[in-house]
Amino acid sequence: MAFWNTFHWSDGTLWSNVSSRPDIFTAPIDRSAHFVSARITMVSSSSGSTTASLVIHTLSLEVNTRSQLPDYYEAFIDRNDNTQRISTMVRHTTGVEDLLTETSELLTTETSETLILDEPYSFVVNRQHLLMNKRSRIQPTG
Amino acid sequence: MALRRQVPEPLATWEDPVLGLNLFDSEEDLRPGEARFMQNCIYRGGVRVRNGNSRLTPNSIASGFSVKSGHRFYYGGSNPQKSRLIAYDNKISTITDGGAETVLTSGMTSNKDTFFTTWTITDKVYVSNNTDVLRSYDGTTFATVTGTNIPIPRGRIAPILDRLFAITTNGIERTSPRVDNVWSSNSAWATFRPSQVGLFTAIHSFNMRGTDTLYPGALAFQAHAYYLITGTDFGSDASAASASAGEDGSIQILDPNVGCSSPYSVVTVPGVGIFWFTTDLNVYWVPEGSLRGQYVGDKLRSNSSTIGIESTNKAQLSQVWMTYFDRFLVLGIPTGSNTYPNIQFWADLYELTRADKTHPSTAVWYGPMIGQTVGRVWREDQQGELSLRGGEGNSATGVFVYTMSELARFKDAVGASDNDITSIYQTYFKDLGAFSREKYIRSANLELQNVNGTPTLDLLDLDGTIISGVPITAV
Repeated sequence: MAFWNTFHWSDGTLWSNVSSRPDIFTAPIDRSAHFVSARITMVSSSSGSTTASLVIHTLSLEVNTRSQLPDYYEAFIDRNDNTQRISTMVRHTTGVEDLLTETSELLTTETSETLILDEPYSFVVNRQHLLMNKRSRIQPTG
Repeated sequence: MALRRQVPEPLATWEDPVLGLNLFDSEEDLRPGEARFMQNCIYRGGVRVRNGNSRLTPNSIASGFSVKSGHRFYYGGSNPQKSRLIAYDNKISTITDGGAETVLTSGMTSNKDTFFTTWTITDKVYVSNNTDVLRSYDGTTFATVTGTNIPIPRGRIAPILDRLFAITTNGIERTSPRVDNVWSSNSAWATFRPSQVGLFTAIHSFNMRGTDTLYPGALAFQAHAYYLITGTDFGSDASAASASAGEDGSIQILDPNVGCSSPYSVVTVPGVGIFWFTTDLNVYWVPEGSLRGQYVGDKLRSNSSTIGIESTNKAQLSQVWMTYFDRFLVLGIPTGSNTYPNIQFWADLYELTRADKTHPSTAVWYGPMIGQTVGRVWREDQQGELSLRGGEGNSATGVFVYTMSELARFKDAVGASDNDITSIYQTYFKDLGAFSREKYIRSANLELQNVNGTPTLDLLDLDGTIISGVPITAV
């Protein structure tokens, strides 16, 4: 990491249109990976006094190991008889979080998988949906 | 939103590319500080686009030809003067700062690789092209050198101590002291001959430094070997049948397996040493004060789909150039079937020579730099000037002279066009502290300056692209 509050060219002149401090930018990803490389593309041009030229100071990810989930995620719970739909926010500290931690050890692919649990309900967990969209669709099965 | 077991920031942040480009190692083995790709990027307190170039000549001087050489001729002694010379077609011309041409001669053999050498002893610039007898220009008169045994030099002639040396089919010939009109010719004593098979390809003036000793002389090259020429007295009459008393010139082979077929690539970098592009497609470095050289271009030899110096057009090695400017060692190579350099790599001499560095003593390269088609480059660095100039290498574009690496310039002049520069920076591959586990990536965060355009981001895994073309937007 490095940045200056001013930029000079090698002849001492000021790169006058560089912002005084780096600004924070972000790009949404929502993907999973093992080894990660980032590639930034920028077209630089100058016409008269208008200049576009990127300076990259820091580049980092907001990332979790795969088995981890956000503190909160939205969960949809369908009753077994499909007569009542409960939509709620579920804390990770609840039993659902524990369930998901356990299931993550068993799930080996990104595709949807089914796991039947005993108490207090049995759920069908669409893990792919949960991971990618931070949202789970959980169905009691009996 | 806070995240459970979030990968801590030090593990989720890429180190700046202080070690530069590495095309050699596998992506998994790239080290922190290396970059997989730095197209048109350099690292200077941040990753930023390289400087662009601009036209010195507003229009093409001639179509169907390329610039075969360029040179800034400083002369005049106490009355300093200067002239910019270029060679193209059968012409040697001067070009003003405004781009106006004055033809000095149209009598050269057309389209030959040409070399200019200024010799202060006669205050003239000499012109050689491997075909015509040596020419000279004193700022007023362009002439063919006349006298005894005037050679047809192969490549650039080199001043050493008080005389000139030139490569011919005989070997390396020399002049008598302080004159340009008496040369040796296939002499029993004055002609240096190689011990290995083949003609000399280049000669480069340089004083080797030993312990408390200077060895005046030059490096001479064959395609596969290089030699040290040294001496303190190179004789009084080069055309004489025998050497004068005290003559001590010598030539010794330094390495029979690494040489040069690219005479425009031999360059001295102050305080660092001599570099050249080798016939086996690498960059070689003889550090100053040493006779033990080493390769420094291995990281540019690509083992991936990205083109590196291993893809240099071997039929056009003579067109490879290197130069030193603005603390960069700049290498231009023709790749594929190109007959002119179409890709450049820049070695960061600050990183190579900084006293407090913690990196290995090897070159830090940036690139590939694409978009320019410059065939010749030359420095202009006296009488208050400091510029790098270039000559168009693509004959289909025409004869143009450029100002290279121009500060605050973000376009490339190619012929009459001004092209945007697309920079692409790709980091090394991080395992994010858990190499055996798949990670869930929510977003990429950046600190950027001077964002007036629309940068985009791709994310890659070892086996392919995960997501591409994501707009990078301000938070």
